[in-house]
Amino acid sequence: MSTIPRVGSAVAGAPAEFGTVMSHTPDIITKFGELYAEFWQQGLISQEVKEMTRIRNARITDCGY
Amino acid sequence: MERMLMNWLGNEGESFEQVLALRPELQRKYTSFLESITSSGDVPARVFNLCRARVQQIHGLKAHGVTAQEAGDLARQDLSRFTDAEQKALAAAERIPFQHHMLADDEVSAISNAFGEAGCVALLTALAFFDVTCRLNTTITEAA
Repeated sequence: MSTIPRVGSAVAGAPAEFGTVMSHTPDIITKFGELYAEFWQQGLISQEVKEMTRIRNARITDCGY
Repeated sequence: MERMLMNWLGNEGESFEQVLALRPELQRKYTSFLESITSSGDVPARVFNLCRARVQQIHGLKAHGVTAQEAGDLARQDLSRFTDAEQKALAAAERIPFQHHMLADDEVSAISNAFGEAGCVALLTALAFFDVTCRLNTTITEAA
C-alpha cells in the first residue's frame, strides 16, 4: 500500500487528497457529490446506520476514511 | 427473512440496476455519475469495456461488452492481443476487487503515463464502481 500520493492535486497550492485529486475530472466529482448527497440525505435508512456501516466497511477494507 | 428482503428489493433475478428503480432519483444520479466517467474523454470506451468485463469475471459474473474471444483471453489472462495501454488498465482491474492494497505505485504511474492524470482518476474511479456494481448484483441476486 502506497503512502505517497499517486496522482497530484488539481488545485494549485492544495495538497493531494480525495477532493483535490478528483478535481482532475470536474464533471465526475460533481456528479459523485450529487449522488453521495442523495444517498446520505434521502431514503429510509438513518444517517447513523449509514455511518456505522460506512465505518465498518472502511475498517474491513483497511481504508483510512 | 431473506426471501422477504428479496421481495422488498425486487423480484428474484433482477439486477441491481433494476432494483435501483425503486429509488428513481438515486437511480438517475447513479446513472448520471457513471455516464460522467465513461464520457470523460480521457480513456477510450474499449478500455472501460475490457476492464468492466474482467471485473465481472473476477466476481464470477458473465462478462458483458466484449467479444467471446476477448472474454476468453481475459479469463485466461492472455493479454497479448491487447494494446500496451489496455494491459496497464487491465493490471489495475485485476487488483481492484480483492487485491486493492497490492496495486503498486508503478502500476498507477503507468496508467497516468498512458491516459494522463485525469484519465488515471477516471479509470480508477470506474474500476471502483465496476466493482461496486458487481458486488451489489451478486448480493441482490444471490441473497435468496
